[in-house]
Amino acid sequence: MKRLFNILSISALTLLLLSSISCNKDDKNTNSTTQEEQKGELVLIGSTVKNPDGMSGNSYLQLIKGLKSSSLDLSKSIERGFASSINVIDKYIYVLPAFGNEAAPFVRKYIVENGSLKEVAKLEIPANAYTWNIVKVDENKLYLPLYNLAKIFVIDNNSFNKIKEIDITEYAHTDSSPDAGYPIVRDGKYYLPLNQINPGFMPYDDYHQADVLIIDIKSDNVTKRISETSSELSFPARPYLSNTIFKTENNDIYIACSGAFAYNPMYKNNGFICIPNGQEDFDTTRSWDISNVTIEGTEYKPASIYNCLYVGNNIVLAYVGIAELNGNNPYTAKNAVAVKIDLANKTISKIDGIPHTDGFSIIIEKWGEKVLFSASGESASGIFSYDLNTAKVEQVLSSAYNIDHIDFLK
Amino acid sequence: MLKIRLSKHLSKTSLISILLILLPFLSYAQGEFKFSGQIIDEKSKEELVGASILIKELNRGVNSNINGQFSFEHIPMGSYHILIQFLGYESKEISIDSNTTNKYLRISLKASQESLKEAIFMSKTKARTLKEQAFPISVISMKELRGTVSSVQDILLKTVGLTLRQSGGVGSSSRISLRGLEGKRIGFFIDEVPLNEYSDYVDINDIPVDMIERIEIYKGIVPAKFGGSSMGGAVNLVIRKYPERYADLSYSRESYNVNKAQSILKRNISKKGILLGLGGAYTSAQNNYVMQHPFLEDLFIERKHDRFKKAMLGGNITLSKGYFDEIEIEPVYVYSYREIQGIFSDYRKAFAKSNLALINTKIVKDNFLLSGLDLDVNTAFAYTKYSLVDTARYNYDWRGNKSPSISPYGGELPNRFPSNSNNKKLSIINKSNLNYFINSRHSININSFVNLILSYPQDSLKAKALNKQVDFNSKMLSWVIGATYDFKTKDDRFLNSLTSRFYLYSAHTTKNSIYTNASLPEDININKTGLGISDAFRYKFTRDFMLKYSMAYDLRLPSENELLGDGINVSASQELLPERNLSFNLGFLYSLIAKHSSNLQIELNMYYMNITNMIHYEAGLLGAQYQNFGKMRSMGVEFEAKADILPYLYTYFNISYQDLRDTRAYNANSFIANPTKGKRIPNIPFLLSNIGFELHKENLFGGHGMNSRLFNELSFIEEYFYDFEVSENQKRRIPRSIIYNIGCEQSFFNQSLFISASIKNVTNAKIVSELNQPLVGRSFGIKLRYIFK
Repeated sequence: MKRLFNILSISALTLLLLSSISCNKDDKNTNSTTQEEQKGELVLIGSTVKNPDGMSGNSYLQLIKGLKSSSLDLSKSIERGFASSINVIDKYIYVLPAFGNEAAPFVRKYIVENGSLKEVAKLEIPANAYTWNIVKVDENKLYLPLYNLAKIFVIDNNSFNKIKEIDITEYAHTDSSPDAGYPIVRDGKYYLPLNQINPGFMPYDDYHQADVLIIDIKSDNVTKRISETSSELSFPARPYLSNTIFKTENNDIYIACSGAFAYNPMYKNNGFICIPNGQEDFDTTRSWDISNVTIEGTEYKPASIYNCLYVGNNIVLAYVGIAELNGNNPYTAKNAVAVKIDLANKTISKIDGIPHTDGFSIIIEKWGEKVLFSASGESASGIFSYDLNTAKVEQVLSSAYNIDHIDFLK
Repeated sequence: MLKIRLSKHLSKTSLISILLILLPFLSYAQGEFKFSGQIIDEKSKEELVGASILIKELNRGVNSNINGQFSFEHIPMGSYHILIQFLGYESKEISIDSNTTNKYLRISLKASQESLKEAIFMSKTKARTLKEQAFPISVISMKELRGTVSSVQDILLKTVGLTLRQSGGVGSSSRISLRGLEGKRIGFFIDEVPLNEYSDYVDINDIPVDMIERIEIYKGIVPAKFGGSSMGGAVNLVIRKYPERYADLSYSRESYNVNKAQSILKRNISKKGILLGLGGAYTSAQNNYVMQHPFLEDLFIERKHDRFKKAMLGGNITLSKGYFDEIEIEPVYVYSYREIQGIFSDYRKAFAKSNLALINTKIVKDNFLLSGLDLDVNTAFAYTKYSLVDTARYNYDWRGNKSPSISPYGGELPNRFPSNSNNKKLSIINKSNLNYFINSRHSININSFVNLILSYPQDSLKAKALNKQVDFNSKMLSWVIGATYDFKTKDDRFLNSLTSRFYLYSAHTTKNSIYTNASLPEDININKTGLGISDAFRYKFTRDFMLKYSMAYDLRLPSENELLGDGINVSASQELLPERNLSFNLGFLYSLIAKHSSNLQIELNMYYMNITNMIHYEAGLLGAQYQNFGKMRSMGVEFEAKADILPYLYTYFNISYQDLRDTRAYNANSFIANPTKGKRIPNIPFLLSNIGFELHKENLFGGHGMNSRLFNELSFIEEYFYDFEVSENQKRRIPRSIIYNIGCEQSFFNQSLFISASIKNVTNAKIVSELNQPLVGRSFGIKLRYIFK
């Protein structure tokens, strides 16, 4: 029985991929607030604290006024479930269940009232569902994919009740779930990438490709499945990282593919795939495997994309995983490096000043003319800002805890 | 002799039952009498256990029991000479006559000046002797065990500083937690044989209470003679040594269809020096209590997939005439079957079963090669087979929703693959002790413990689902050698025990990368050594009041799972070092046992532990590994008092406060200050207390040869947190628990027949485990036991 207990704990923990989900795709806009205004804005911060056994812990959520270069204090925060995902949609904050099968099976909906979070509704979901994201698809509906159960809950945006289910079991490879990644909405269609992972949470050895389902929002039906098979890229759009799938100014959809997360020395393919505007299929000429591109300023090549953020003009800022930095201990290695990727010129350069971090503290969020990076470095930890105009980096918040969510509330 | 007409409709079982019950009513043949008595120390008046009482003319003998009592029945009328002998005491001969009115003999023996070696250790009850050792120890003797309907856990829960972390009903896994340390850090022994590595087959609750002589709980440091590596303490169950002719049958029934039956038979052919024993126990439980879902308040669930069955059969042949003082051969077979009850999901099919076949051999020789040199060697060969079967094609939740298992090969447990394992292990354990009494003040003990485990795991279904082999044969060897030097002053005021230990462990296996199916398996070879040292002393200020002090610098070897991983998500960890513990313990004991009618005992213990290189599960982005990263400091104080307040009223009280804190300076792999440094370690209770009393009276309802006991107990554990306490708004905690138990026992025919009953958790308080698993509420039990003496 003790062996069984270990198996259960280990399995739950293996799905521990801390969330960093910011505003719903359609609500995202380029924030042009001034620095003064930024100091008074309400910031939603998520943090995680692991227990000494390494298998359990808790995650917290709190509102702070502006980012100051001081230390984060969790004493007023609220519990939200170990490594649970967070989505902000309009004025609501959605907190999904903690990872693992022992989580409270609720999606909770909060508003901000008098500077603090107030729960206004909750939705019960099945046990073992594993939910990573919830997205508003139109004024009346939200879609909530259930990672393990191969279905999407269609939820009424007003009553917060489930009204329908979309079954996607038939699109799974080998097992019974296609493992829904992070979606995006464009032109009345819901584009849902499929991670297609094996029991070890890695891409199948015989399935190095990227699948995407296209669902018609009006009818809630899957209209087609498209697959990018030419580049051998896989694991499209990490399921709790909203910025790993994005639209450009031309309304082209790009999806970051993480591959094997820099842990499989025999498979390091990672990069971007593209569904151009007006089309419902991949343009494979725009697929780009970055595993063979040397990062300017280093001797390394990326072995995975851990997170990214499109900032316009074909520029993507990202954390990439470097296999050479895994060392003897990939479990605690600070192998994620902050880079600037030029999709048009196909170049990658290192962003100096942001510490190498582990795979958990990899938030990247827009903040006016700057971009925020969370990092848990060897000698500095917290949130760092990168100025898009000057490339200057400075630390704006210090925290010894893992910061796994940043959002700005109006 | 009464004759019983057999009815056609009576089954054999019914007939035997009737005979058992009627046996004591068989009237004495004409011309017979009986007598009984008690053997005590002339000076201290303390009862002497195991004294030999022989009727010379009939060559019939018995030994005195744990209370120093004995009895003879069916003695032909006449006069006899009774010879009483006990090591360390002068023999005594008395006369008895069938015409004597008073047939209860209270016989006192005088300590002998010769044979001091035995006098040092044998002239007191074993329990009292243990208490006076330098190690901090709690001893629960058979006297306190009697009357307990249920299991070892019911007894351990009353012990100061100790809790049992359960996960469900009867048969569910339980972990001993001692002073906040638990799991593999705390040693679990049966008759000083370490059994931590066999926890899948033998659980502490599996041992029937009636088979236990006493339970020894070592805190802080563990005597070297025990072997193995434990840190923080150990629990040792000492199995009873039965009188020459003995049969013990019992059956109990408890709530939720729990049935337990046990039998022990012993026969001594003293002329030939042969002792034969046969015993068995069977437990079955449905465990269908109703639990509330941990998160869905409207959902009350009957546990329908929690059946448990266990059968144990053992024999014993002991030869005591020959070159060796004792040669013992003990075959044992254990079978268990356990369904896996879901808490958060509705498991319907998964189960585990195991088989254990073991032969234990023991040889004992006093004055081996040299006068004063005692040898005992224990060697056991065990074959075990463990199967986890998880092949359900569908998964269910508690609302009745059904979904296909993720893997096309099945599985409802929270993996993404099924299991149908057939894991075999062959183990050889050898424990050898050489004890040399230099003189009455100095002695040396050398102990060697070797454990070799050859594992042959196999799960072709899992390999098929994972598309790779993850189970490989392995070999693990551990060897611990301990040397102890004991010194005591002539007046026995001061006793010191100095121990050093040498540890060696090695593991060899093959593992695949957890990240890819395409790479070749690699060989894993691990060889590590370590040293430990401990010292304990005891000083008696007066006859009744003593101080105990001990310190230890010892280690805990990593377990097989920690070293070798599972090949799926957890990598092997070849560089894993043992955990290190530096501990100190200071205690005071005031004892009036056998010196005053109150038998008052008061004990106060204070301790400090600093653990480094803590083995800790480190999860990366994908995959995990056990690593040495973690530091913890623990301090605590324990207080215990027990006494016979009145001749018919015994009471006890204990309280312990344990303060365990995170002492890591930095976050993993960095120079960032650890934000949880100094915070209380989560998921460990810090304040525990127990109080109870027992009323007992002989012949309460008139008649003779009867004894009545009534028990009342209260256990308290203050609420504690699941996680580090970082927020004022933290709600995730294990609630305060107050559990009240009552029980009663009625014995007849001078403790030959016992009827016991109990109600556990009388108030039906809601109790959850530290993992938020709902535990049993109120439950009832009744037990019937008959001893043939």
